[in-house]
Amino acid sequence: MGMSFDAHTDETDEALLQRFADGDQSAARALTLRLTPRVLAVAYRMLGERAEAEDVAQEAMMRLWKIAPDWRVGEAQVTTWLHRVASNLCIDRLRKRRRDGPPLEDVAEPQDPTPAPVTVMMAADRATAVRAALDALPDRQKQAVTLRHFQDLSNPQIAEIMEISVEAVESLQSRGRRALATAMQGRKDV
Amino acid sequence: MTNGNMTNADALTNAELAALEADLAHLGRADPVPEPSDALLARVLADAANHMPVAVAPERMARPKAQRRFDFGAAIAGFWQPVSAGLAAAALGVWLGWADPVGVNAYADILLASDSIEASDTVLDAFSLFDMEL
Repeated sequence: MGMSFDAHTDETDEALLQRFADGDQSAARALTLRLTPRVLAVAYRMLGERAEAEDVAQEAMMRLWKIAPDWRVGEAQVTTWLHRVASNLCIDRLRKRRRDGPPLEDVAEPQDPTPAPVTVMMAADRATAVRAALDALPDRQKQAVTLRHFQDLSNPQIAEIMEISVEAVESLQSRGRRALATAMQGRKDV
Repeated sequence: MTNGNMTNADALTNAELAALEADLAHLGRADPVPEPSDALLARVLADAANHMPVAVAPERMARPKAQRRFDFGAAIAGFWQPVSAGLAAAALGVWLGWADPVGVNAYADILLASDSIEASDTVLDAFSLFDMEL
């Protein structure tokens, strides 16, 4: 990244958003540098595709700028709100993908008959298999598993993001993990 | 089990959970989340600039509308005071020069009459009575 981090490191997201709403350009810069990587991470883990993840990150941040003047301090954390917006945008895209079918560039090329080095192939295979197993999960299970295992959020935080109870989050995670474990076990058995 | 949707069949053994955690961690290492590109940050900042609320000076916000109208009138009057005084003086000068009103002439005679003392050797008639033949 060419942009260096600047001041405002000790200010809360809410305080910065308030300053942005008051017309402070430097607060916008600080929020962008602080929050865009987090939103991008959620989107990338949910979608698995960089360009789409960047579009989602931009859209989520734009919604933050729009809501800033009406933001009510103390009602929700900015990061919780952003995670919710980003993951819901991702679910919309995943549903659209399923409706429209896979894009042409995702259709598998015919296999190259030349064997790759075994270790590289196995490592790539494993990551690809985990990715495929994640992609095969129902959207809400994928959201719950991603937020827990890749964003390191607690279940109460995830419950707030997904607007469901903690018990429902645990249920989604449990079923998601079971499906993932089954898919990976099946791969090892082949 | 804390939810009716979750069954015992969903629960993983410790070994299964460890294997799954290892698989997910492997994916995290093999396919790390990309850093936001400069282009993305620039797009986000441009959106922020487009949606930045306009800053308004607090003292202007606090002033009532009637007060602002009065201020505007006072500003206009303050500008026109010296200008209108100059125009009035010029108009009066033109009027006095061209219209030549009688009252003004009389008043001007009083104001402009000379009070200097002129020397004279004329003897008044009354003083001839004092001429005596000795």
